[in-house]
Amino acid sequence: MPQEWLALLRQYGGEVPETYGVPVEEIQEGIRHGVRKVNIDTDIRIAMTAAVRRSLAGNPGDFDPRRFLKAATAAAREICKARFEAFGCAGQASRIRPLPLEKMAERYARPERLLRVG
Amino acid sequence: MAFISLRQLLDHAAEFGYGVPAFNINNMEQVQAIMQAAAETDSPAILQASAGARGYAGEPFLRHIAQAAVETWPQTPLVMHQDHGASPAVCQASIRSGFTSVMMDGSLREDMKTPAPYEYNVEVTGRVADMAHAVGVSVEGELGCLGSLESGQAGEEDGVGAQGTLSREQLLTDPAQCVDFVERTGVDALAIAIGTSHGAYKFSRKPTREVLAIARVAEIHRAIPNTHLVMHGS
Repeated sequence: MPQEWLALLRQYGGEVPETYGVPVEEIQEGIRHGVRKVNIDTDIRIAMTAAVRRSLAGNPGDFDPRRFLKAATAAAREICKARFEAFGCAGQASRIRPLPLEKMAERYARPERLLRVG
Repeated sequence: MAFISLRQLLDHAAEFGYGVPAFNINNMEQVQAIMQAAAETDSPAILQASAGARGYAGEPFLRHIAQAAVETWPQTPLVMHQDHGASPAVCQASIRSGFTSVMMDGSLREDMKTPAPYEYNVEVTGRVADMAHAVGVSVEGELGCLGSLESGQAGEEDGVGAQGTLSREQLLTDPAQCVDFVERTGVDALAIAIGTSHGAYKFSRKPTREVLAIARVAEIHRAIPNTHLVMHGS
C-alpha cells in the first residue's frame, strides 16, 4: 500500500482509514519461494484517485478532463515502474522470445515436452 | 504482435528468479500507464480483467484496448489474463475473445461468494484446463479462500470473495492438498491464501507473521515446485 499516495489522498479530501498492504519485502520473500505472479489493483486505484483529487483541487478553472486523466496516468505509471523494478521484472522483456499459442498447445499435447519450471 | 501465454512468461520468471506484477485494467489510462512503465523498464506485462472490469468497460472495449497496447508497444511481451472466472463458461468466453490466460476460481461457487467444496474446485478447474490447454491458453486455479487472519473476515472486492467469517484452516492453503489439486487439474499457476485479502482494508497495522503467513509460501513451493504461485490481494 503506497503510504505516500494514501497521505495525498487524505490531504485532498479523501476519507480512508489507516490501512496497510503486504510490504514489498514480504512479496520479495515470496518471490524467493516460488511466487511468480503478484496481483496489483488497490495500489493503482489509490494513486490514480489521489492524483485526480490533487489535479482538480489545484486547477479549479480547468474543465478539460485530459488534465486530470493525465495526472492519473502518470501516478499509475509511477506505481507500475516501482513494482516492475522491485520484483526483478525490469530488463527481462528483451530476453523473452514470444511463442505462439499453437506452440504452447503442442507442448500440452505432448507433456514430456512441457514443462520445465525454472 | 507479442501476446504470449502466462505459462511461457512464468516459466521464464522461474528460470531467472523474478516475479511479475499483474495489473487490473478497466480503461485506456490504466493500460497506457502499465505499458509505458513496462516499455521504460524493459519489462514483460500482465494485464488482467476482472468481472468488475467487464461490467464497467464491456468485453469488446477491454479486448480492443489490449489490442491497441500490443500494436503500440510491439516489443513488450504481453499476457492478457482473465481474473477470477466464476465458471467454465466465463473462461470459455474469454478464451474465444482472445485472452491468453484465464483464472478459474473454483474455491468459490458460481455466485463468487460461497466457499465451494474441494471436489467441485477440482472438477471445474480441471475442465477449464483441458479446454484452455487445447488451444495453448494458460490456467490459474485457486485453493483456499482469501481473507484476513487478523479478523477471520473474508475479503470481497468487485463482487468477488467469500462472505462472513472463515476458519484459519479455510484462510490458509494446505500444502498437501496443493499436491493433489495440481496433479488432478493440471493448472499452470495456483493462487494461494496466506492471509491476504482483496480491497483497500487488508491490515489494520503493518502485518506481522501472525497475520501474514509468508512461511506458508515456502512450504507450498516445496510441495509443488513445478507450479507457479500467485499472490492475490497484495
